[in-house]
Amino acid sequence: MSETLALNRIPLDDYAELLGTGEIEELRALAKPLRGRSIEMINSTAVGGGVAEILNRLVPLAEELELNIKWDVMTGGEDFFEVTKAFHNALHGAPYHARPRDFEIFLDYNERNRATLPLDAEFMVIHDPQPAALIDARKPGANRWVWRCHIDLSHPNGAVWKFLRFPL
Amino acid sequence: MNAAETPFEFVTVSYLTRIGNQTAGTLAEFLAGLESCSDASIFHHTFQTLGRHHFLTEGFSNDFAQWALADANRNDLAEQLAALDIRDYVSIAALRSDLCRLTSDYCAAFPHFARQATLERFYFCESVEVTAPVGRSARTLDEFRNGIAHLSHASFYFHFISSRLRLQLRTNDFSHWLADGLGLGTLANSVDHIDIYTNTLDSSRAKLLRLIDRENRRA
Repeated sequence: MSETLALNRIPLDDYAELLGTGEIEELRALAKPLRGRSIEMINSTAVGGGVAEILNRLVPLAEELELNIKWDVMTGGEDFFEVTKAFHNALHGAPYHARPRDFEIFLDYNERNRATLPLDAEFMVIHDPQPAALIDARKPGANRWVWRCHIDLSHPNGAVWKFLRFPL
Repeated sequence: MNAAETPFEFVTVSYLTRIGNQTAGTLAEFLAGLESCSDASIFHHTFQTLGRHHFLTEGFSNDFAQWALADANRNDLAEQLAALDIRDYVSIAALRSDLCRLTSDYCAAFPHFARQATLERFYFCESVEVTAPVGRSARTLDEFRNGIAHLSHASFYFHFISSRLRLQLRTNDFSHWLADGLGLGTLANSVDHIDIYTNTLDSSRAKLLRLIDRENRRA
């Protein structure tokens, strides 16, 4: 159901002409203590959208720094993405009357993805609201989870925010 | 050539901004936050802007003044906070004291504004530094020059600006080593006088390299 993406290598040294060799050397120095540590990035789309744009570059560059990083994409049906689109707009402050069924759909797809995604990296990085309920798979002390929200949450819809905050 | 007993170790850095629990939704709360927040938070909100690239150069260069302008809508207080010249201070305590005095005087003069809710809250933040040795060090002025020429912006910021917090605003890493390591007090003093307000990181570095070149010609 879920998909681990294979990405083309992006040699970090190709950036030396733009950044200077000093910047590249220092990136390697900063990453050295993290060499070999495992990171799993999870979002809801492989193409399109800001997170996919970021991960398309970030993951290969982190591999160049010898981090053990992978990018998994959760899956969902049309009903799931309709709900998460509404959540997205609601978190931006748009009016939205959430129905109990919407929350059920959201939780149901997250549960199905929990069954298929590995979720076993030392550092789990969950992007945006769609996979937020994957956190229920977290076992205390097993690994570290980070939720990175790319949405402006300064004026969120109260019902949606309360629902998302509960597992977080 | 003069060689230092203790080498200068070049370090690189990555910064993580940590949002603390202190926030302010009125000027009165802002004053309470200024009085009790950490030294690192005062430093973050007044100096961190000097290490960033700015696509837009409008507004004030310290976060406190910018918030007073944009979110508290108190232009007069914003101007007073922005007018504090961070180059004048030799301690965070003195800088904090003046920030508090200006805000306190303003709240006393305009108590109704002190209680007025602001557009957005102010979040007191700190920068968490993660450092790593670059693997280069310098014992002579030439090695030092070469190291500085190859530093990233982050590393240059760490040694030249962020170090002022560690050294209580009295100097910076470069000047400290030039004076203590190589005994070049005059050069150290000149480096310390490079204006971090009006220069970019690149132009500060260029000036520093020119000062070293001048010292080398003199030697």
